[in-house]
Amino acid sequence: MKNKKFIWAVMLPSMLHMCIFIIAPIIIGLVISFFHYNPLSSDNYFVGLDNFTALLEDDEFLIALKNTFVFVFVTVFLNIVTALLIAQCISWFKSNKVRSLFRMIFFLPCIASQAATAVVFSRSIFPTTTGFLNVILNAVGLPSVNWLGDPKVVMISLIIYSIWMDVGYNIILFSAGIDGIPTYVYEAADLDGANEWVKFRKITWPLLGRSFQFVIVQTLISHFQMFTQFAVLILKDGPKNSGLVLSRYIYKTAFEYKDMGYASAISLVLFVIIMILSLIEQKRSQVDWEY
Amino acid sequence: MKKRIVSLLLCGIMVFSLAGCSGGSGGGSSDDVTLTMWTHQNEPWYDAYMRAIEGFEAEHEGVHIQIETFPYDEFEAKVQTSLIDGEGGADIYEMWGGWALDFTPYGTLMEIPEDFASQVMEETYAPTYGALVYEDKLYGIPMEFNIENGGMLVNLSLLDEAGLSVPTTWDELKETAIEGTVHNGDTFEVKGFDFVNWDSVPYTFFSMILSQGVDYMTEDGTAFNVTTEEAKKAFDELASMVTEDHVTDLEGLTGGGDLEGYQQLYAGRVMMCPRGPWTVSEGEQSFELELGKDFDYVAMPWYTDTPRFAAENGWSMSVSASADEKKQELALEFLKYIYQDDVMLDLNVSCTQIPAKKSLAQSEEYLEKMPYAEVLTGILDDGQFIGSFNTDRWKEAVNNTFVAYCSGDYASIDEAMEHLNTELNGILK
Repeated sequence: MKNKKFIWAVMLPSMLHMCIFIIAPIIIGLVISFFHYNPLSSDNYFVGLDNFTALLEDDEFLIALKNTFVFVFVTVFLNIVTALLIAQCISWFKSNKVRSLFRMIFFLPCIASQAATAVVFSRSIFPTTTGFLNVILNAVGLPSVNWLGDPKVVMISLIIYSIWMDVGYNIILFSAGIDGIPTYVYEAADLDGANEWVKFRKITWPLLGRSFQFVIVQTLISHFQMFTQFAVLILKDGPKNSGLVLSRYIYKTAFEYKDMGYASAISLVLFVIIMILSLIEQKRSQVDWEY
Repeated sequence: MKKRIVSLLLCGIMVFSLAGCSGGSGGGSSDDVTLTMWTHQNEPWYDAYMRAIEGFEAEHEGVHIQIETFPYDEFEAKVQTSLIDGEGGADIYEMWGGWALDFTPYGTLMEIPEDFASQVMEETYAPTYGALVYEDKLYGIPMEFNIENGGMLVNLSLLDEAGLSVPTTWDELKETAIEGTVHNGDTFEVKGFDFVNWDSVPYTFFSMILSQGVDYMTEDGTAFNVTTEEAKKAFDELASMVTEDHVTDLEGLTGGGDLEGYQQLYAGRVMMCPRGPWTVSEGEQSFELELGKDFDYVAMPWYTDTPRFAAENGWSMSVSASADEKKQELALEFLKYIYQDDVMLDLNVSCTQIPAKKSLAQSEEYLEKMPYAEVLTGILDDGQFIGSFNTDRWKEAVNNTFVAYCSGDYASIDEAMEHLNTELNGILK
C-alpha cells in the first residue's frame, strides 16, 4: 500500500503535465475542429463536419498531404538505411575513442540550431549561381541544378538537408543496439567462418529488432511533425507549393489565414495518420525474444 | 544538526525566491508605472524608440517604458497570441498595419479618443491608416507611408558600363532593361530589371491597373475584378518581361537565390530593382557603396502618364484594450508624444521611413536628412488605401498565378485572370 502511494506520488507530476499539455490540447483541438473558430471573436459557431469535408476539395491540403507522405517515407527510409550502414561501419573500429569520435561528428548536426543550419543551406549550399553544391557539379563538368527554385527538385533538397540534420540521432541508437549484442554470438559466427556480410544479415539485423522498432516509430513521428526546414530553407512553400507539407499548412491556416477551426481539422488528420502508422509499425515489428 | 542546516538553507532559498518574485520595482517608488512595449527586432529602430522613450520618461516622472523585441518572423504570431490571451502581452504594440484588420473588430485594441483620432486622420495620408479604422473609429496611429511603387534602385556602375542612362518612361525602362541584361547560357550575369519579388509583382500589377484609369475592385467595392482588359494587359506586360524579354527570372518568387534582388543589385548582378527606400541604408552600410556614385534611388517610370498606386498600411502603434485604465491613459500619452513632429521625424529618419504625416513628408528638414526620398514624397497624394483584406493572401494569390502563368500553366491570359479573380475573391469570404 505504502509502495503504491509512493508510485502515485512520483508519477503525479508527469501525469499532470501530460494531461495539461498533451491530452487537453488534443481534446480542445478536436472540439475546435467542429467549429468556425476565431479566438478573438465571440461568434464561434458549430459547423459539424464542414471543416473535414472542405479538406477533400482543398487543393492545397491535397498537395500538402501528398508532399508529406513523399517526404516522410523517402526520408525515413533513407535515414534508417544510412544510419544503420554508418553505425555498422563505426562498430568495426576496435578503439572506443575512435567510435566515440565518429558518433560525435555525426551527432553534431542534431544539436545545432535547425533554423541556423537551414539558413546556411539555403544561402550557401543550395543557391543556383553561388551554392557549394553547384560549384562542385560545375567543377566536374555537370550543369547547375536549381535546388530550391525548381518544383521538381525542391523536395530532393529538403530530403538531403533533413537526412544530414537528423541521421546522427539514429546512428547513436543503432550503435547502442549493435554494442548491446553479445560478442560471443559474433565469436561463434567467426568459428563457423562467417564473413562480415553474413554476420550482419544473420546476427546484427535480426538482433537489432528492438532498436528498429523504436527508431522507425520515433523517426516516423518526428518527420511528420518537421517544420523548420519547410519554413526557413525554402521560399514561401517552394514554387507551386512543391515544398508545402501538413505541418506548415497547419501553421499557415491558423496564423496567416486566421482560421483556427480549419487548422484544427488538418491537425486532427495529421494526428490520426501518425497514430495509425505508429500502431501498425508497433504491431508489425513486435519482438518476443531476449538475450 | 543536519536537519537544522537543511532548514536554514531552505529558508535562505525561500527568501531569495520571494525577493526575486518582487523584482521589477526595485529602486522606484510604489506609484511608479511600467508600460511594456513590443516591437520587432531591428537595431536602428530600437535605438530610435529608446530615444523617444527617454524623452517621454523625462517628461513623465514615475512612468517607465520597457521595450521587448522579437524576430520579425515570430512577431505577428506573438502579437496575435498575446492579444487573444488578453494577459501577459504588452501595453503598447508596434503593429504592421494589415495585422490590425484581425484585431479591430474584436475589441482587443484600445480606441483612440475622437479628438486625437480626427487630428491623426486629417494630418496623415489615407493609405497609412485605412486598416486601423473599424466602423469609423481609429485603433492606432500610423508611423510611416508604406510605399512599394514609384521608386527603384539603380546600379550606376552597371548602367555606365553598358553606356545606358536612368530611364524616365515605361518604354525606356524596358529598352534599358533589355540592353543591360547579360546572359551566360541559361543563367544571368546581370539582370536588367529584377522586379520579381514578393512585394513588387502584386503592387506593380495593381498600380498598372489603376494607372490605366480602372479599379481592381468592382464598383461597389465588395469584390475583386481583375478580369478587365486593363488587368489582363498589365499582367501580360509584366509576364512578357520574364518570358519574352528575359530581363529577369522567377527566382525572386520561387527561391534558389543566395541574395534578394536588391542585394544582388548591390553585388553588381542586377541593374535596376524596384524596392522601398529602406533598402538604401543596407547598400551603404553592409555593401559599403556610395549613394549617388555606385548606386542611386530614382523615380520608377509609371506604366501610363497617370501615376496611381495602392498601398497597405505600414508600421503603426496601438494600445492593448486589456491594459488597465491608468496604463491605457499613459500609453495614449506615449502615442501622443511620439506623434509630435520632432519625435516622429527622428523615428522616420532613423528607420528610413516615408512619413505618414503629410507635414513631415513635405518638410525641408526631412528631405535634407533623406534626400533620396524626394522621388516618393511627390507622389504620395496619388496613392489609395489598398483595401481591408489580408494582404499576405493577396500577394500569395497574385504571385502564385504569376509564376504559373510565366511557366505556361495557363492556356491564355483570360484563363489566368479568371483563376486569379476566383482566388482573390476567396480571400474576402
